[in-house]
Amino acid sequence: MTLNIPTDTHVSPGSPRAFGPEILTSAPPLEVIWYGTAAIVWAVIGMAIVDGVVDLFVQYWFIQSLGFRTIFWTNLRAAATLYVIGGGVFAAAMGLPLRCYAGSAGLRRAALHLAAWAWIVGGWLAAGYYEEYLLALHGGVFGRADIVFGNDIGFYVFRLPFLWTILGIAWLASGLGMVTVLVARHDSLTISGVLSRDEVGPAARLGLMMNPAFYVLFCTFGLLGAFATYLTRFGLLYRDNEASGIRGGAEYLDVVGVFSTVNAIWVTVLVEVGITLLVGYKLYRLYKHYRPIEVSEAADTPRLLFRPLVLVVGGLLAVDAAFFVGVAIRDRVAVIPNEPFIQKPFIERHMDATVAAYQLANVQVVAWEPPDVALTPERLLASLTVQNAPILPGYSAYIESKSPDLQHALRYEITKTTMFYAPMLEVYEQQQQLRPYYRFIGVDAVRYHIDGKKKMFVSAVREIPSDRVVGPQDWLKNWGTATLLYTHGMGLVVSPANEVDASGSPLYTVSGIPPRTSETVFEGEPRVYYGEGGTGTYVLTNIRHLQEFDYATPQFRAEYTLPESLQTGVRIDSRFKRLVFALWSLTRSGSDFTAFLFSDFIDRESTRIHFNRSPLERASAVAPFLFLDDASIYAVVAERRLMWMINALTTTDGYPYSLRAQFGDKASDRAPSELQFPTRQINYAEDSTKVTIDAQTGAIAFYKITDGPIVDAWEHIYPDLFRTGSSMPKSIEAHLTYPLQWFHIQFDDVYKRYHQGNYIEFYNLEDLWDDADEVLGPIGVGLTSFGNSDESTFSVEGNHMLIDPSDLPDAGIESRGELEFAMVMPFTPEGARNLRSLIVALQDPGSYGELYSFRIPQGTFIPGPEQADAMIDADPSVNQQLTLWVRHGAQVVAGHTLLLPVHGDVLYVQPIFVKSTQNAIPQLRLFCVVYKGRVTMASSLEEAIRLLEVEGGSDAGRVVVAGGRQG
Amino acid sequence: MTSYRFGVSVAWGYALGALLIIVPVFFVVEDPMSVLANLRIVDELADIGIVRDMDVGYGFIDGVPEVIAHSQRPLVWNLLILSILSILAAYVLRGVRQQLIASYVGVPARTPNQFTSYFYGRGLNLLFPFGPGELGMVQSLVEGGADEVAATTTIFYNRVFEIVGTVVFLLVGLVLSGWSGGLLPFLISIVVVVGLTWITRPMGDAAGNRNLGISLWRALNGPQIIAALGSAASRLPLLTGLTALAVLALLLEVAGLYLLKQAFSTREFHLLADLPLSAFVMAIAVANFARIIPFTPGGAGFYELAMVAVFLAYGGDSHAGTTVAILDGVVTNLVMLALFLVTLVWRQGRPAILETWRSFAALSRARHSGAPIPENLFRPDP
Repeated sequence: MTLNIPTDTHVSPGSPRAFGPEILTSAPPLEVIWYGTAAIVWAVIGMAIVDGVVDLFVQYWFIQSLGFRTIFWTNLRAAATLYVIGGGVFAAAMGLPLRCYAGSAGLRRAALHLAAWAWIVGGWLAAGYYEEYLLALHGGVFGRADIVFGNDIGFYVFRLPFLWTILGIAWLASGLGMVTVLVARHDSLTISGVLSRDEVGPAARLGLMMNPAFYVLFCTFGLLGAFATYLTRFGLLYRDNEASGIRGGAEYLDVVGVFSTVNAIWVTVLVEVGITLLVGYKLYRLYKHYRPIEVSEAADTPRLLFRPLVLVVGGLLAVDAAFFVGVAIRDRVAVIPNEPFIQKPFIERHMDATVAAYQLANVQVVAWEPPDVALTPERLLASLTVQNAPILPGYSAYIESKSPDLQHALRYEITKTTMFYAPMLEVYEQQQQLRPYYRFIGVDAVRYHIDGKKKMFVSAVREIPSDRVVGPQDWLKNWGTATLLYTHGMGLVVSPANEVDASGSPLYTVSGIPPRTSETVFEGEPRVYYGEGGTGTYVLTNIRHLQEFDYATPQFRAEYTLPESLQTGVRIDSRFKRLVFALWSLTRSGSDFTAFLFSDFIDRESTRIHFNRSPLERASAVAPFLFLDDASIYAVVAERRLMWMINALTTTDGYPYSLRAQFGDKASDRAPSELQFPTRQINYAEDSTKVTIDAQTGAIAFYKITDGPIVDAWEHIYPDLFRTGSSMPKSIEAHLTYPLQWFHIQFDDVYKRYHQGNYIEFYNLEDLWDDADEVLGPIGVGLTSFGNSDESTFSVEGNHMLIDPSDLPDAGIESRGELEFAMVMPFTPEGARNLRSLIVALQDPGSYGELYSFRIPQGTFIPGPEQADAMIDADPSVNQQLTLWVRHGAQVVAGHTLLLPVHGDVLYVQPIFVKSTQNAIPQLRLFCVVYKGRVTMASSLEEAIRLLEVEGGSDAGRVVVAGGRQG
Repeated sequence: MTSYRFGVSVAWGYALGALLIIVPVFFVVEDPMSVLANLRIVDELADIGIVRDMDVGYGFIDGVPEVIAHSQRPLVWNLLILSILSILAAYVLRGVRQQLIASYVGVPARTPNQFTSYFYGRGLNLLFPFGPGELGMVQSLVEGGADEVAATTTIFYNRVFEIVGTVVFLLVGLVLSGWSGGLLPFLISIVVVVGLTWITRPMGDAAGNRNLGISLWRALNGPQIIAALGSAASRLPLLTGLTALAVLALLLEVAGLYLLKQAFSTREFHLLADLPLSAFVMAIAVANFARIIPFTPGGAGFYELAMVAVFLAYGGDSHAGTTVAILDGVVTNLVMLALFLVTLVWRQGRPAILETWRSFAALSRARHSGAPIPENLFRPDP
């Protein structure tokens, strides 16, 4: 009955018009919701497809421009295979049950949409595993078998991950199929009215919905689940059994005896299979039992008993639980009380695997007992290590951002920057930036041969960075200026790392715009189209009407056009490419869309687009499987060209028995967070690849410098990707460095514990190390609270220095003669601050990758860096001087405390930088030296060392202060 | 069968609302952690161990010190309270508007529930999808003794003036922005309204009509709106007054939005600092349009997305825009929820929420099946 309400009646003139219930809102019918939703989903999928296709074209052109076209096709073939198979499985699981069993025509029609969505989304998800697929196909063997299951390690690294992927897809698809069968059958039974009949109870409903197709899918689902449980036994090889001293891998209880974890897994597998088959069979019987209700109107069926099934399933679960309890009891009674002896082979297995996986087996341990008698200042000054001491730091340091250290959050709150130590970057910005649009993104520690001698330098690349790196800037506001005019940076700035002028400022070997130098080794093409500052942006070159800005001249500016002969960038030589790049640019900046389509600057005959401009973006776009060490990207001049160098590693987290650690997670960062590479969990890595990128052309080369099962597999997959290490030009080889992130994880995460060769020592952590700390960064002007407090101390990371081998304790390399460019990192005992070990990695050709651990004997006290800093800080004269500066408004920056091995002894040098209120340029104004318990300070290193005038330590503790400039 | 289908529709409404908020925040915005930091949540997440902090050694998601520090920025509580009061005043004005309309259509002034019926209805819309609130308002008025026709007419006129106010507001925003600056937001608002109406077109009397224009027009009850305005125009002061009230309510919402974003800004980190006032005018106008057809509970998702779209069209930052839109959505809904709860207590639970919902379901089912409208629609059995 409807309400009798007049809907269009005027009561009287001036009275409101009346409206009835027809104006009230109500819920739309399901069909309408469905069509609306389908339209939205198709619109979203359509946009995603357009985006994906655009991305595919851009990737292809990019990779083709670099000469790696085969990589693209290899990846595409693999991804397409997975897309078709994975997507097809999901589509079948979603669509077939609905098409076959749904009762309503609407749902059957919807099945086509749903199946298509399942194909698209499922295929997309499956295609993402193309790297695992390729490794499973091409991965070889490690030539080493795991002792528990007898499989070659290659099985775990290459094939097991893809087996899990296949299993996951099949399992999800069968689960999805079960759900869609239920939905379809429910729909069908609702349409036919069966479900609304009074005699159809819950059991009958259940039985009727679960038809034979459901039974098959259920059994598939259950059996796949059992197979997954079976595969979890391999997970025992990675299990964290830290309580038993095994931080990765199986322990005694896991694999030995009847009541072991591996047998518990077998029991669970059998229970799962049993339950699956029993329940599946019952479901099938249920369907057969109630089927007559569906086909006959008046069928009246007796009830089916479930109690036997419940009892059997309960019994099986009880067996499983009982076995698990048995394992737990055995652990308490027979295993834990006998630890660590009972775990000996397992702990040793874990230690050996970890040391092997982190390539630490070849670390040469050298006993280091510094002499009791102090060396004379003349002997100290005669040391080449001291003469080449890098008093100017070749790095910038940022508060760690990948795993926040709240100890330093207060520092961030006061300074508003994560950068806490970068004196050279600040000096270069003040003295060598010269124009507002130039920036130095970071500084590098490098070495060159000058006049036949190796010398260490600090260098930085002058770039015009993107707004993504430096934030919004006036000169980057306009599309034309940012992408057509300011296309490239200009050259290097280089300073010797061991010298300053009289004012404490660096000297310049290369400086100015365009770069000027008197050393031929630095001469070369200075233009920087590809660099860290180009992150997230593109530029266009060889355009109409306009030449690129090259550099400013006293008169006006020099202009430049990229030579046609250079093979660089992607040509925009068709309308189709313009359209594709216009769409591609939408994800970057909306205003570029019309510019790409209609700008008259773009000339189809000549214009090129340069994107993926940062070294990280470029290398990872070609070889995303590589771990790129973001802490050791640096630029050098080699072959008369400016080249970026990246250390790249091949990794896995599937190496049995090895410790898992986070790769790329150092205590402090060497780059701002925008320029960092994602961290990766690993338990095995190969320092296998060196990548070079030409700063002008973007040409990229991957040099495979070592063999290894993983890098060999990738070489097999991409035969055109790698060049041999021997083909690397000598001028590039001379600039190799050891990967800093790798050095960190090897020693600060692994070796500090795993150097303990004896299992008892390891189990009891009798000689655990810790990375040494130091006071670093500003200690004045609003930062007074950081002095002498935890907030001002940072872990010492790996640092480069030139070491005279004869200054090192006897390691058999004294006779090599030439200075070694080494990465060093000091360690202290855990919980103490005295020096325990100095780790040295050699980096020069011929000795690259040699690792040394120079160890102070336990029980011998040699101060660590933080103790040296404390001595300096506690010294009244030094303290008085620093306080004086701070009171006058200057900012005092504590420099990196150098630990210099000198003729087998230990000398500490801490440079102190000062930024006055008038002059914000950090100047190296003070050198503090700590030697044999004595502290001296002076305005030059030589002076400070000369003040150590007494040998033998007879008046140790006396402080000698030099005169001269002091504020 | 019909109940089953209705249930699926309702579940879909809830799911869509959740998806529309979750997907953009966590999958579309480049750095969701920044949005959470702006909302001052990351610090709390770090405290309870969700966000990882290496020194403490637990947590699941990697945090960044800048983000954690951002999350520790202080709130300007005075501004936040002012913002809440402003939004509260906007809703109260709408209640007043409904009372004035009720008088106009002939509901006796002494009839109870006139003022509170608005909050009851809006509160229901907050809880359920598809907008059962209008039916609730009618039931509330009828419960108070109003004539059924007068009640439905009152509710419809209130909707008409909400639309009129929003249109006026949109035009004001357009003028403030200038043609070039306001064109894109205006187009966005058109797209939002057309898109929403299209996918829910049978909510008016346009079911089955394949002509998009006619469908849209009818879905919005266009002919009835014109008729209502024509009728109200015969009393020009009333028309002007009600329109002014509608605009004033929206102005208060703009003030609330602006104060809210100021309350979550600091001197160093200012949310949407570069956006002109017209952006906020347009944002409120477009977002209110998106909420007129309540496809999800409280228009959740549509409201926030429409607002973010306007901010982006004006060149705003996506993180800040998302933050402000979520904040505004949360605060306006919380204020409405508070008014709803007060109303329920004040009216001692009459009409009961579930009764209204059942009536709404019955009305919807009747429309789907072409059956007559249920007899006791406005006077449900307790």
